[in-house]
Amino acid sequence: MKYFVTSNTNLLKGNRIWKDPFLSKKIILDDYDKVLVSLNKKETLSNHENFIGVIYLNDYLKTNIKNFISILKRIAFNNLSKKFTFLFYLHLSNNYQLDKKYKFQANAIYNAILKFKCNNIIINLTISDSKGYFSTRNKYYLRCPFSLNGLTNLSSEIKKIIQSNSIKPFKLIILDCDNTLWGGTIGEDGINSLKYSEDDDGKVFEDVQRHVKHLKGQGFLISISSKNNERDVWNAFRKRKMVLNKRDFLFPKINWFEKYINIRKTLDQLSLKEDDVLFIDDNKLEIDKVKKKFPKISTLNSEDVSEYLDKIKEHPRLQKLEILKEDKKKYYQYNLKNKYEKLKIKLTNLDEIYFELKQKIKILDINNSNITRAEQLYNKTNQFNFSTNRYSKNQLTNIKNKTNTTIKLISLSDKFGDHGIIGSYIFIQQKNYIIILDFLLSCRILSRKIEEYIIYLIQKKNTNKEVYLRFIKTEKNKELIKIFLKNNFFEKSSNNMLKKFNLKGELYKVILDKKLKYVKKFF
Amino acid sequence: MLKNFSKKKLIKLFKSELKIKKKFDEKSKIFTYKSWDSLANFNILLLIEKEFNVKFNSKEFSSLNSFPDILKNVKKKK
Repeated sequence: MKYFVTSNTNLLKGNRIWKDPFLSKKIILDDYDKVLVSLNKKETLSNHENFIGVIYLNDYLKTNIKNFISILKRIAFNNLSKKFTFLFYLHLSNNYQLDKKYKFQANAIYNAILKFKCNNIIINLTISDSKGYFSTRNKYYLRCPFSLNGLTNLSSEIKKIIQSNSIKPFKLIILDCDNTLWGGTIGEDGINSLKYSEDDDGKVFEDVQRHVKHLKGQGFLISISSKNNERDVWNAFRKRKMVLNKRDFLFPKINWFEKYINIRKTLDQLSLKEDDVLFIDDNKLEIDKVKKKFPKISTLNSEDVSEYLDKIKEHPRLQKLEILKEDKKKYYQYNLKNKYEKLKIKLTNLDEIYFELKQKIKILDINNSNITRAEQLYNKTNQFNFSTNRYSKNQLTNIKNKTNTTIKLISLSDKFGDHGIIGSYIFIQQKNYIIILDFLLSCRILSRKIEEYIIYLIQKKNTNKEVYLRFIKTEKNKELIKIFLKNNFFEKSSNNMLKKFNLKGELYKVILDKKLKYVKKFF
Repeated sequence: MLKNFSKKKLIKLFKSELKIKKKFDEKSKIFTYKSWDSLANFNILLLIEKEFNVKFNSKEFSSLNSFPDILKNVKKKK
């Protein structure tokens, strides 16, 4: 899907900066000065998913700012399934009084938009003068306030936005400690001589930790893999009053095992794949060893600390343009999983565990408040996903509005807390039967009988109908789903019905027997 | 410091910017070629500024619109 780029200035459509092979494939440039017209047009809005508005703020500062803000607000709230990125540009005159006024007004706009708290609108403000990105001559003779330099910068900015939208962020960052979270090594230098927070090198490491903490706040999981004595490491964090502390790390591994053994364990504990992980270490040998065992893992060498701080700040896979409620709660949710694992060790009888968990399932309709999470689930879930169909928000809304089609979201809470939305399903209804076309659950909560219970619920709500489940085999989903289909209540059926609807995949019929009914006791 | 400038290079720039594959008409001006419209004219001037490190003032920017004029102007600046 192409990005629709629109502006209140002339962006020099024919200029060679737009002929960049990547950009010309990804964007459609609107005509000159059409921004508010285009974004109010139903046609434009329904034809595109992503919009980038390049706004030369000076044009609006002279007129009614409030009017401009309210227009943006309306656009954002009326199109919650679309994504809007506004790049604001403020052209300074280098006249002190004038610029003071401009900056003040620009900030007012910026803050007003931040207050929308709308997930689908992202803004960025760039301030420059005629010596930088702008040219007064171009402004009056071309109706384009940018200099060629400024336009080039703008195009690379747009490139960055598109790239970061298509790149999958890391899920987990595994850090070494010595020379990565602080300077020096505990074993040789001792806790008090570690470089942290004083001048020189120490200040850099403090900022590294501050940034790691910031990443954690955005929903990245943080863990440690360090060859050290565990007590020394936690003492270092505590005694040197570091920004990060023990509670920030999930499943830390501080021991003398090889790092790949530790990483394997952490990945299993968090049910993550190696390509979701960034591993940071200052020792090239360690990095090579890990890389050998996990060829798909991303690594970063922290040998040059200031360079590495820049890298973790600008890394495309460490960017999040929007942060979902679920992302922020991730730590909390992984901790729930952790508690569940502990409970599993305590109680050996599985039935007992399921009773003890006191799980509660809610089936929800899709709406504006959860559609972003639904899109995320459909695009991220691989293992327990019967079709691995990827849907955008727009497609999800269309599915919701279709007759004979039902789309629902599944949320879970248990005795440890609220897991939020953890799955979804879509089925089509006919007179005598229904076919579940999509069914997916987050792997965080698998093997707790939820899979079966959902099937039971669907069957129960459609008592006099036969329920079929569609499965499209892929490399990623085949293992888990095969096990599920084998252990449960399904019977392979002919694919004629799918062919009738022109659909791919294999069809399984649900058999409602005692075993399936038994599952409901746990909920 | 001005970057290297030559007539040949200027013709090359015109040809690539206007997507001309045949021989370039050295007497051509705006609208001679279909692709040479007013916006293309500005794009050429902006590109020349960047490529040859020259600067056109406001008057030049709005009046330069033929190859001979542009060539003369840039030569003078060099």
